[in-house]
Amino acid sequence: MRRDLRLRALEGQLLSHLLRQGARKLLAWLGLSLLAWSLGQLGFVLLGPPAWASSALLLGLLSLAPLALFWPDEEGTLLRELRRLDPDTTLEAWLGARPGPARDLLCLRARQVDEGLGFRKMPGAPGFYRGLGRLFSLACLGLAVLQLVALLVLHHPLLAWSAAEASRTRATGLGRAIEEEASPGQAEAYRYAEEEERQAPDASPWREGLSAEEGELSLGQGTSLARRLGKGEEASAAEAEAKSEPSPGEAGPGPGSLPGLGQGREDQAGPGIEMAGAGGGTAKDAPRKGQGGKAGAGQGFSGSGPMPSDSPLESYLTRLLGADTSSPGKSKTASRDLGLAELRAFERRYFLSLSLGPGLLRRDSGRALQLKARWKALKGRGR
Amino acid sequence: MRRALAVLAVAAAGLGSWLVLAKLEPALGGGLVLSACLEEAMKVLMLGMALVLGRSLGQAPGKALLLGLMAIGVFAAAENLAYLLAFQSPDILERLLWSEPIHLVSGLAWALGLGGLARGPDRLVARLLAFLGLGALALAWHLGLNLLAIGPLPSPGREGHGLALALAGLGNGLAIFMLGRSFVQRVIIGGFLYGED
Repeated sequence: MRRDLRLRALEGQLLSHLLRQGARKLLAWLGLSLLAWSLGQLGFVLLGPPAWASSALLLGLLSLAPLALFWPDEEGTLLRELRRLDPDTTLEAWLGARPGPARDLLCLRARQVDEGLGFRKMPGAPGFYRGLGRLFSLACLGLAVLQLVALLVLHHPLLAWSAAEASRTRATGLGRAIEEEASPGQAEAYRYAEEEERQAPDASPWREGLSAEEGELSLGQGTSLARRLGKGEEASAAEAEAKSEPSPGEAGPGPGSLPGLGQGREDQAGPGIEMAGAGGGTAKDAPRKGQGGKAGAGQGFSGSGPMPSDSPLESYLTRLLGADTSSPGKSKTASRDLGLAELRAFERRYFLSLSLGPGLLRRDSGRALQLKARWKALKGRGR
Repeated sequence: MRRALAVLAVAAAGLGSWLVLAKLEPALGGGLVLSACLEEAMKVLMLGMALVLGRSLGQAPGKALLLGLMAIGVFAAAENLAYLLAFQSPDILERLLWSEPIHLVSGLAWALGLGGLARGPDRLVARLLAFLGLGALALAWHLGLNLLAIGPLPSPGREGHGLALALAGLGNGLAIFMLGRSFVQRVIIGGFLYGED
């Protein structure tokens, strides 16, 4: 090391140059991160992953900031800066000189140049923003595309994928479709449980009595009944049936406790929830969406207590009337403008109901026949 | 091509070192002190290997050490993501103010010490002492903040947690700035202007 002279001003200039380069690298990282963030959020909107995916993306991008800071500069960047600061190459000549009289002479001159550097106002190095404009334009374009897609799919702008968005998207739209494709859904589980139930030996006198009459219900009747009952109604009817069977009010395992299409998730306002809350009340009493949990307590949830009516038929009719007359809630209100996601969800549910027709028909036939048998029995008793 | 290879090598070194430590630490019984010592040893190893490889390829010590620091950055990022997979909660982002800067501070301290040693055999004892002092600083910083995190630091949600986190972030930031500036001045600019002794 040449200890006879330390070029402090030159060192300072080179340091500020490297700090500028560091700032430039951080800006480039910021632009790239914005672009990656937009693309990531776009993917989240379309795929509906769990909320922590957003945290993972943020954590990953922020964790990579030091890499941008430590990224080595191009070869020769310091040499170019040195030649820009000292176009006469006096400093370079002194730095490269071998020990001897010539070097001592150069040392004097180098000291003067270095002292001059401390007082001279140097123009900023060109090319600081080179390429950054394009990168940030691309990042802005990515953000714009993200907002557009978010407005189309979620109906509001989106900057970060949150837990609320994740649950909302799982409840409707593509996220749920993907989720159901990935794992056997509740419909599958219900069908499987139904098959199990059918195949299991049933000593119930009901079933024995019904089996003789099974052919009585025509296809048209079954279909119309299935459509009328809908999905949640069916689950509620099954629940009423389970409640009324051995001893009223006593919770027991029955078809109503099976997960069905009408039973939505907890975060999903499904008709099944509404209907469960409506059980035992009149049409006016039928609680709206969101009130089912409270209003339904003691009114027909399995394990929640005795039902007001011990008669399964009364219970069924009450529920059916409730279903027909009460407002089905926000999710079924057709008078307002439907968003694209809701429209897709309704379309999906509609076609799903068509595809499940035979299954529903078989199952509903059984229930309808059970009810029919009871209806007949009651009528017979009444007469 | 060389740049792409360097990036690949950095990523492989960072991820590989994290995988090795993820297996090694539980096998040796874990513990804060042991973990900190093993991680610091891994950092010195990565920086030393970067220095030796870089010199054999004709790179300046500063540039080689920067690649080693990048590998430490990859190591810290891998650790962050591993923690996120284990604890999927938003407060995992607090690691960016606490845990990740610890690795950067200690990495910079080691790099500064190694950069001094790479300047040549002149004044070797003084440089060796400086290297050991900076290494002790790195280990103390790592261990001290880890002990603080499980000890007197208020846990998330408690009163004072945010303040402690902000103070730690500020301290880490200042340490990174000072060590980074010193590294650039002494190792990169000093190496470029004056070369080896």
